[in-house]
Amino acid sequence: MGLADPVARAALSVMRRIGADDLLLAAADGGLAVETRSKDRLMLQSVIQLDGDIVTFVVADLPPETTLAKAHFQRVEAKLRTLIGSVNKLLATLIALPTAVIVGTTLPAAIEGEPAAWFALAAEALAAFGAVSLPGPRKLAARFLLRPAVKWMLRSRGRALLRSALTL
Amino acid sequence: MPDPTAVEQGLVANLTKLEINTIIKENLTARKMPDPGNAILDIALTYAWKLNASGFDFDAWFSDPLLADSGKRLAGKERLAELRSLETELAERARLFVADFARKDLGAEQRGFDDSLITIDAKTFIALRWAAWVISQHPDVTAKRQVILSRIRQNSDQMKNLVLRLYGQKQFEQIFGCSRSSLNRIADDPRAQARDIVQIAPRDMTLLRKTWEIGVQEVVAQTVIDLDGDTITYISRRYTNPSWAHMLEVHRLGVQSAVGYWGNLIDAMRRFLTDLVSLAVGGSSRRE
Repeated sequence: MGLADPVARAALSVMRRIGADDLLLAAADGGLAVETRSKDRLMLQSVIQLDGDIVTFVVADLPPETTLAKAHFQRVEAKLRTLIGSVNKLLATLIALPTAVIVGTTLPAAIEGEPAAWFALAAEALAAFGAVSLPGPRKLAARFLLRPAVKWMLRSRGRALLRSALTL
Repeated sequence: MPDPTAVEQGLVANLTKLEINTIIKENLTARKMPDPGNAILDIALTYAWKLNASGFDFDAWFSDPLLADSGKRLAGKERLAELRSLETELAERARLFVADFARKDLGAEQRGFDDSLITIDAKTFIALRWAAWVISQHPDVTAKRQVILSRIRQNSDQMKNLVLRLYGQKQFEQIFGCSRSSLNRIADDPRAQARDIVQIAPRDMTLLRKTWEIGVQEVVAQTVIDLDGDTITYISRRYTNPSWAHMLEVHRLGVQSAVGYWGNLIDAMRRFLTDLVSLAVGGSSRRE
């Protein structure tokens, strides 16, 4: 699926919006480079790959004291922390997709005027939003709301479907 | 930019193994990897120059009718069948080359080669793979050189497979078979854009970048950690001397960073799968 695909384009736009750009950049370039210079000379270069592999290039005359190397790897770890943050955002977005499907299936019931469906719909939307955008405890609360909403939706819609099948 | 939905596949694909390499590089520069077409050519040319330095006659090897471009653009299964047959015939031919090459002084007779023979094609990597094998059979090959030859063989196989995965892609077909000069010549051509928009899956891009970055450099230390906990560290004998201790410390710091990231990555995947399962289990409990 290339970027000509509207779904891929939409997904790309979502990733930009949730701030997972560096993850995209790492995927597009095959990795991210972290470079450390000393007196304008490149001394250490690490290429971080999405799967965690690291290739580090060092000049042969790197000073024996490890201060420069330690400073370099502090920057590498900072970059890795940013990447993990982006991975978490991406995965949260992906988990929100099935939730969105559930919201989509509840919507007809709400439109038909089943009052409980409106509650479920609101809870699911909040949960989907929370999975993507909310930090910490609010995300947890949003996820907590998801469970009863999903339960209700599956029970009521499942029964309705069963009833229609039996009528047929 | 890659398809974002494939980013996750790229992540999952290679999570079972962690590899950390530390390499000493003279004239370290901040050169960025070029577009995929040029990167594939860079890798092939780097391997060819390295093999050529051993005295291997590339002009003779590549002028073989087996490797000549027939001009035919075979598609799908036909192309795969052609490559399979080429691989078998070239392997046979390589065996005939070994005895002749073994009589030569390794690296004594260096000659240039026509780099227009190196093109963006799976055939190029099949030819490089078997050329590396011929050289590796020479009795005077040192252990250090064997390591590089073995890397060229393995990476050529991987690059061949990568190129095969690109076959059939419209943008790739436009640069397929290009040598460096022909790729540069199309700079003002609409095909120049094709160089940048060749769609490479994230896992292939990761492979391309790693292969391009490492090239034929000597690896100081390499640590490979498997998901089951097996850890293997290779250290080049030359760097076991205490005067190189700071290089091994650089490697240790790299391993420490990578392991921390890997742990977090696996944890993130575990949480993702748990969330998915809890959604699914929610559904099944209601069916009861």
